[in-house]
Amino acid sequence: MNEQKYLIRLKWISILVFSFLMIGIVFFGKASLPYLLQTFTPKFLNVAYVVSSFIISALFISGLFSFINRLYLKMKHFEDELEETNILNRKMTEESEKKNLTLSQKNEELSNMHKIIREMTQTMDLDKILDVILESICKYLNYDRAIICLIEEEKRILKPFHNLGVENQELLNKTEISLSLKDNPIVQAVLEKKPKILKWKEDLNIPFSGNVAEIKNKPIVGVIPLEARGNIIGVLIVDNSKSKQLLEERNLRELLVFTNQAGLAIENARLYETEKLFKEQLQNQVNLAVQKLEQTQAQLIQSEKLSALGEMAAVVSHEVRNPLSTIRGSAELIDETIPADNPNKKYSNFILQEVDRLNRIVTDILSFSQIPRLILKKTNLNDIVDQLCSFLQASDFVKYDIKYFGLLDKNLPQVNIDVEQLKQVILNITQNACHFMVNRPLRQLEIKTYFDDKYIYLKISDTGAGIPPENVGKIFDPFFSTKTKGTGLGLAISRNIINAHKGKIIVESKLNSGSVFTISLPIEG
Amino acid sequence: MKSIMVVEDEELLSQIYEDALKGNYKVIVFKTGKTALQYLENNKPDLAILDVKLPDMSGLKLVTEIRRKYFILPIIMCTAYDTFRSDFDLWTAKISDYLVKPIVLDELKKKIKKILGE
Repeated sequence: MNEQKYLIRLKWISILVFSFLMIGIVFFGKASLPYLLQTFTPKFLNVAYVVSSFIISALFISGLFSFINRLYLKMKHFEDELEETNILNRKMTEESEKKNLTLSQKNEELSNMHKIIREMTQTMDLDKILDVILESICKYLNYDRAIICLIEEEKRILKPFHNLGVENQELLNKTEISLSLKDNPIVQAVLEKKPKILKWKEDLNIPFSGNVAEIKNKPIVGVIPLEARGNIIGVLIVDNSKSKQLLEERNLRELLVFTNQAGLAIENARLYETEKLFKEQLQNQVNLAVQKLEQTQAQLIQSEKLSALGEMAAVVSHEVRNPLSTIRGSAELIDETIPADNPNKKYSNFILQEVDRLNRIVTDILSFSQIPRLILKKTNLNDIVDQLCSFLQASDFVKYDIKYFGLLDKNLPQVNIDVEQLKQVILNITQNACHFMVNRPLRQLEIKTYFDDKYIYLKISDTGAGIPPENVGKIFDPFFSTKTKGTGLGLAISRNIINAHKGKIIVESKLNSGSVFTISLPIEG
Repeated sequence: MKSIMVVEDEELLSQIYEDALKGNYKVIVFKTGKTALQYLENNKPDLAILDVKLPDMSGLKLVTEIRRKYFILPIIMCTAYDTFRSDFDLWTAKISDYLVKPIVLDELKKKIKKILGE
């Protein structure tokens, strides 16, 4: 643009100068003509005039052109300089744009890092942290798949712990990489504590369900050891098996900054979990201890109560049994003197019966108030059942018209039991059963014995009236009785005896159809 | 006639023992352990029936005292509690047999006969 302007200006200046020159020559010619006409002929003068005009014009024009040329060259030089400056300027602009782009990339990376780290540090749940880590890697750093393997110190293996994007989960779960495989590049990365870009190979042990040929030997796998407080705790494996985008050193650097944080986050979460577990265990132990303490306290209160009751019962029983002895003795002596056909005989018998009843009450209270003292003897429970049932066949079973079924396991192992006390328990339950089967259409009593690895079982089933559901929980309570003549201590004593044997007694009952008592006793008493 | 020493502080009960046994045995009744031990200084009854609780000493203490001088005297102990439950308990207490109150006289007589080999 400037060039044209100069040229136009130059054109006008040269025309102007040429015009002035022409005017000057004409004016000078006209003024000096009279003098020249005196010396030269007009023809010569015309020729000289024309020639001199040409010469002068040529001189002027050449001078003018040289001036113009100089100006032009100068201009050209400026123009070149300008061009150079322009190119330089463009280059600088391009460079600055490039730098801006890199800066914005860096900025984005940093912001991603920041997001990842913030998300990582916001939770202490290990699973959630690993989720965040892997999601962030795939989302922000654009990897197709990411697997976190942690070191199992006991087995010295790397085991996939968490993953994202892996299709064949089943295969991955079965995968484990032994740390003794020194040739494995993943193990090498762990042992050398160095991140590595690996070419895809099948012996890397990373499951892949696509076309292996497409990715084989391509550097698309990144392995970055996870470090926490100077120790390698695992490894992060990332790959671009789908996009097939090759990995560069720059990618590793990105990951490295991030895996340092990830390692710490995992370690922290693990510590937190350990602490949480420890806290839970401690809490459980405290709860257990409190529970035990409460139990012990309850037992203590119970045993104190029992002890007080025992002392009282002992005193009472002594004080009651002495006069009972006198009454019974006297009644016996009177009874001896009364002939069998005398109507008064029944009254002496009444006295004897009632003394025995009173004595049973005292015995029950005394038994209940004392912790059973066991005299253990290796015995077959079947023998006790047989013995008792022979006695009951001749007494209660006949009296109440009860059909008895004994299903005793012949292979029942012997157990350490107090024969007399067990007899008392079985007698209590069977006599109760007989009592509650009175006036029932079906009167059947079944006693079954069986065993497993740890216990022998005695099951006494009747077809009696059954226990109302509201009473099932109370029948082992002391002084609970629905019988008109009962202390309500029989089952409470039975339970005490079974508990003293480290066994259990349970009841199942259906109203109007019968009850089942099951006693279990440990074989290793 | 064989003699039976009864040590029982209950007046009425001791009378019952005496009346129940006097037809077949010579019955000597004492109310305290001390008087019974004094009697044993010069006498040797064939059997002793002791109450487990006496005003001056326990029946078991009395047995120990008796055994110091008179080792072979058969003793039946009468108790209001289930003090003895096994042969081992009897052996430990150094007695021949026991009865739980209220005493059934028939049972007492049977035990005496058995011990005295009648």
